[in-house]
Amino acid sequence: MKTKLQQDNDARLAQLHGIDHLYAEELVSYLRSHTGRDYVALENSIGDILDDLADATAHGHSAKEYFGQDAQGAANTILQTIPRAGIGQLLTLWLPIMVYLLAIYVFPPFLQRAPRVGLGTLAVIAVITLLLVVAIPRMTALDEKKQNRAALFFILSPVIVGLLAGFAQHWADTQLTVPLTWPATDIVLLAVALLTGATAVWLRPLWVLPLPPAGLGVCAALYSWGLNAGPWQRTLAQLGLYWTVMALLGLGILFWFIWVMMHRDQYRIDLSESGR
Amino acid sequence: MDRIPSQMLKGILEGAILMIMAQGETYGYGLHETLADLGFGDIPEGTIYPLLLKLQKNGQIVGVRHPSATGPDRKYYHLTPLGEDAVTAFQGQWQQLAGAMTALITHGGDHDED
Repeated sequence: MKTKLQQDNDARLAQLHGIDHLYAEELVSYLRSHTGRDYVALENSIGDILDDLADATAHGHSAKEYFGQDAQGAANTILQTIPRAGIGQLLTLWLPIMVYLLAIYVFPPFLQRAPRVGLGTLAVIAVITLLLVVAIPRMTALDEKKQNRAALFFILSPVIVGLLAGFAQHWADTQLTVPLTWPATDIVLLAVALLTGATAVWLRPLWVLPLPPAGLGVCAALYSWGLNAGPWQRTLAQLGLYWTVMALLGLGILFWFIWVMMHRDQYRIDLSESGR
Repeated sequence: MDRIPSQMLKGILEGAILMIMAQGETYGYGLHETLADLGFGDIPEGTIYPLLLKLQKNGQIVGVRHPSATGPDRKYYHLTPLGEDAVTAFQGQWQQLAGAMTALITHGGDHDED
């Protein structure tokens, strides 16, 4: 969902035509791909640049001639002058990704009777997160060589992620031989819930970002306790009920993930205005 | 006219922008044109805009967007008291540098070593 700032800048972009439009569009995409910068300051700068480009093209200059041949170099200099995004703004991207990865890799092995989880699972999450942190800002580039390299990386990334994750899991599960069992698995789930709960207090009144994963973490911890220690162990372990709970948790996280990603830019504005 | 090397411009462009603003508020494209008219050459917006951001960040200029009668909205920049101080400081430094360069060009290598 586009914010008012973004809509205004898109309207500015629409004022440019032909090659000028393409040039400006690439420049704007490149600037917007740097999610580590303050959202409001970045969009304001994009607005300034587009207004100037419109002014210059109206006076007979081409966008490339006016802004410069080395658009990426200039964009990088501009990015260095724009303040860094606060931790709150960074969390709008990384919290959903981390929770999504946790849901995929942690819930299935943790939510079982007598679970035994190798540390490879945690290594996989670390490897994938690291790759995403390194890869996402490099997915766009303004000159052709860098674009080709980025495209090649994008095509190869599933293979690279698969190989590295497989290696990490194999290595960690064989080398780090201390498996997590219940109640340690429950403690991990509660720790995740507590951590996201604490984030919720810090990010208030933006409850929608951290509170649902905190709630889901508590539900998962309670279900894990019920499976392993509560009075309804047999009932909760029934295959139908087990898969129903897993599906509900999965759907809950998927729905929350999509919701957050759709409204992310508005959250970034709110957090930018409150200095977080 | 020969093109001024970008390395030479780097040190003085910020001062030149402040001095243009000392004569009245200006906007991005207007600044580009004024610099070209003054003989600084065709300096790309990709070089000017980061300097405008830096000057705003340092509190030396302020940008206010308002509609233009002839085209798109424009952000007009003007000096703050801090910017005025920076212009005064720049002028002193420039005169010192220009004096030194003029002396060097006029007298060449004729200066006494004793």
